[in-house]
Amino acid sequence: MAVWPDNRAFGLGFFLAILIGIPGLAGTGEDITATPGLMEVVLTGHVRRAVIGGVVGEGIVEVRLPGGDDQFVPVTSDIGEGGTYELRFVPGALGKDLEKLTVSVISAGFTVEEESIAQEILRNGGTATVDFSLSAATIDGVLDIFSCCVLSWAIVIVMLPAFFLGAAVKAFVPNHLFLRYLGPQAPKPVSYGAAVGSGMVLSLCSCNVVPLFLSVWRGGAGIGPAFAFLFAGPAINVVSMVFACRVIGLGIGIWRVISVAVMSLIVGAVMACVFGRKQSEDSPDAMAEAMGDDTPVGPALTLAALLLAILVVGSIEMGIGLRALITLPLVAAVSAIAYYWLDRDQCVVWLRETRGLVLRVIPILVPAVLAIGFVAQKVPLTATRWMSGSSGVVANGGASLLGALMYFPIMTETAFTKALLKVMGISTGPAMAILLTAPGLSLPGMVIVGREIGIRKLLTYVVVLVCLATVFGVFFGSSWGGYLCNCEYK
Amino acid sequence: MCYRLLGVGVAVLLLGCGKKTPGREDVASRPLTIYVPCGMELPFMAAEKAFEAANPGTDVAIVLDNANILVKRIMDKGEYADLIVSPGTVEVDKLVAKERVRADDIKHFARYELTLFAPRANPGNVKTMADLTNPEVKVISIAEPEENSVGRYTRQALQKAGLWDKIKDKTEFTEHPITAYKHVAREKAQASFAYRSCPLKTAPDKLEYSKIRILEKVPFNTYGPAYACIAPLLSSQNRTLADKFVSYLLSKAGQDLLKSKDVPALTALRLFVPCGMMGPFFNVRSLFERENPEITLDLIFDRADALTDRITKEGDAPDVHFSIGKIETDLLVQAGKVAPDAPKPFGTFELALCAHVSRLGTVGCVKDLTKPEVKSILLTPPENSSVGFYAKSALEKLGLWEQVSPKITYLPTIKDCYKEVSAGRTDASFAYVGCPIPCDPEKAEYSKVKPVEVLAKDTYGGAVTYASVLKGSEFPEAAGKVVAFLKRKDVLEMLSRVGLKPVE
Repeated sequence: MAVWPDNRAFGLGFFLAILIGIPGLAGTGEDITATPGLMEVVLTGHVRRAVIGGVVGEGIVEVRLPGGDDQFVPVTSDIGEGGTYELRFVPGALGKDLEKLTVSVISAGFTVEEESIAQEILRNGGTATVDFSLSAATIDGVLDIFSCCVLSWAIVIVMLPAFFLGAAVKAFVPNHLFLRYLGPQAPKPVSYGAAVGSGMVLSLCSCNVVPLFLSVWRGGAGIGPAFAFLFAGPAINVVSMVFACRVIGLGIGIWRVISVAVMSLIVGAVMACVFGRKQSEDSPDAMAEAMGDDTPVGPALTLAALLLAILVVGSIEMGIGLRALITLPLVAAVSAIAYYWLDRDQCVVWLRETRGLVLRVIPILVPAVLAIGFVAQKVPLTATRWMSGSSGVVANGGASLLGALMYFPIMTETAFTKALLKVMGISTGPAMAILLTAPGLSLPGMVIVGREIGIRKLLTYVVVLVCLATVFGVFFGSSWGGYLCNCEYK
Repeated sequence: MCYRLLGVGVAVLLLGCGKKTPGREDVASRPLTIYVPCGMELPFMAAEKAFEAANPGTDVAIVLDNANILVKRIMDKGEYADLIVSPGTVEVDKLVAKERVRADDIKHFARYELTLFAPRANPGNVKTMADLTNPEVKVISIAEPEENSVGRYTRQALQKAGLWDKIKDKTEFTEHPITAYKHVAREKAQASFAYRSCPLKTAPDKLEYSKIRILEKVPFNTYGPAYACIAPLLSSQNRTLADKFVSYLLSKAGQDLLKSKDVPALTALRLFVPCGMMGPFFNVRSLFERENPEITLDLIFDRADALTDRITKEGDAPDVHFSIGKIETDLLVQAGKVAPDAPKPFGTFELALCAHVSRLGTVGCVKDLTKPEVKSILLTPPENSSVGFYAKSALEKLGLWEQVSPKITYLPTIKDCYKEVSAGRTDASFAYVGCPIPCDPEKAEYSKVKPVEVLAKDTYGGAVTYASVLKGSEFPEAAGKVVAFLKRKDVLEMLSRVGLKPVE
């Protein structure tokens, strides 16, 4: 019995030794605190709406290994009503790539936000605060489509010279310089050339060109040049060209201009062939007189060349220093020409034209781009499947008909087509078909023109154009291949 | 004076304005142009820097674009490139078909892992490939299988899983893989397939990676193999440099770099295999690569003696050498190419006396070789051929060597001996059962060469075949894996097609 206390003391001592010794024994093998990622991490934070503020009260916060989501069960936590969350996990249980672990928030209607987690916390454990500001998914979606081309400051250095250039051409090259040659008496190369070239100095959309077409038509223009003018006008103007090249791509933009020119010549020739020449009630001279006199264009050409140079420089990727070095002398040259060669009235006209052009385009284009971006996110891929993965006649014919019937105000067909290409993944053939028919044709325009020229001529005009756009679309789609936005591969 | 000046001017024009032919300097000054799919941007930019640093004075130009477009740029637009990188075989095969790339020049440097992925919120509630048939999954975006390797492998995997026909109607094909990816990121599609590493890891800046999640790894044995390839263009004017870059990429340094950039770099092992074992080794390779996706086996077949010569005399350096017996392996050990303890036995052949079917009446057993009617016996040289060595040993053990040796003519290879027997131009020879004497009963029935007598193992000590990892191998660990693989029962069964039996 006397040994009992000793035994009890021994037992107690042994028990204490075990209690103390186990961590010690463990320590001889591997110290848990020394092994990175084995200590618990607690992440807390707030989830708010970006820009407008306010709490995001629904959704989950998730810790994951990007690219290795399938390799472990993700650690998640619901966002509380007050927009707060708390997430506990042991990093070591989530794989070896501790430095790659991230925490992100997934909430319906908002863009997923993902942040990396501080390495120190992941290695040594502890508590960290990670707050999130979530952007609305719709806005993010619009930016996703157009931030690389339309909704970026980079477009200003391209489009601003384009507006000045377009305005300069319009201000200094009189409309009648082209339009006077549209008469039936003019030689065909001249009249058709004028019809196509007049697009450079004239209207911007299919509706704006209609009144001008009607005045030319009533003024006694030949039927071929008149219809060539009606189609080419909206697609060939300077601002529209530059915009298409900038937004969709240089190659597609150039293809479009060449195709429109060729198509307008063909449609003009077909109309002239089928319906004969409309005899002018006025003589060509009278028409020319009615249009006014020539004005000198020398300074305008120099100005246009300089503005074109600024535009080209603006569209080339380069450092800001080099850009300034090239652009500033060009701007100085433009200013010098305006100061020394142009009189005050001409400058005023030019600047007014520029302002008018900007005011006509921007208030429509920007909301339209936003609306297109918004709608593009909502429309399911199945809606445009018929235009995807095919450059066949059906897809291109349907696309050219769609472009012909829809009304696109001021250059919006470019943004529309871009959204179709980038978001809906349609093929380049149907995209080109839309780009070809959309500017020159629209249902409202057809109604107005039809009243004046008759249903037979209108139907012929539309059918020929839709067929031509289909053929050009098929050819373009099969030779160009697929479309990738610059921002997606460079 | 005017005429003189005019004459000088004309002379200058004639000398200076002629068509310039590219000289040696032009070629040397042209940078090594590598067309790289944009999904491989980060690893190849790093490889470019490392290669330039390791080779001072060289200039590497990386051209990035979609893989499809790169191929079109070369094929249709005639653009110049020295090397092209392909994210699978579909793209580079187009260049092979147009004879712009030689099939033999294509090298594999990585093996991709196909994964199923979905939008982050997973609205289709997809967990596995089988869930793609769920009604919640309305659109599955897949890169066009005829144009893209990733699409082709996806189709293979879905076909193998029996899902292709079921989901075909809701499949949206895209011309470029990145478009399929973007459809998922924008929640336009409920699922898609991509390589885990390219572009998901190697070009994250191009992707809204936060918007997708990987759901499942597609089993390796259901597609491909999805090898990332690099190949020199036949029109390359920098071929030497191009080959150097490829070698760098396949070297340990190159692979370590690729691995550091999340490319599942591939250990490419060169295996020297005697051509008699060709058939089963293709099957062995298939099985091995399926189970070891990080290793690829480049099988080089030749005569046993030629393989030995290539290593000992020509300085060729495979990772693993397979012999048909002791002699070939010993030669490598003696030459210091293989460590003495490196050769591992992986099978034994049976040695047989063989004769033309018309001579079976004369040659009925080994002892018959001493008959005066038997005038000609063919054998490979015992000093450098295992068959010759084992045959000589057996004849010595049986006490027949002295009588038989005068009748023996030595030919360099077993194949040569076998051909002569088959043509009936000699009375007898020795060969392994199965290599080349057919051991398959059907083939054996139609063969003109018949085994007369299978020699008892104790007469020649057993024809043991060896697998040896060479000293110079950059990847001894992976090479060792191949050697160990040959001991597996199912692998031995494959090898039994050529008469190889397990080592006792």
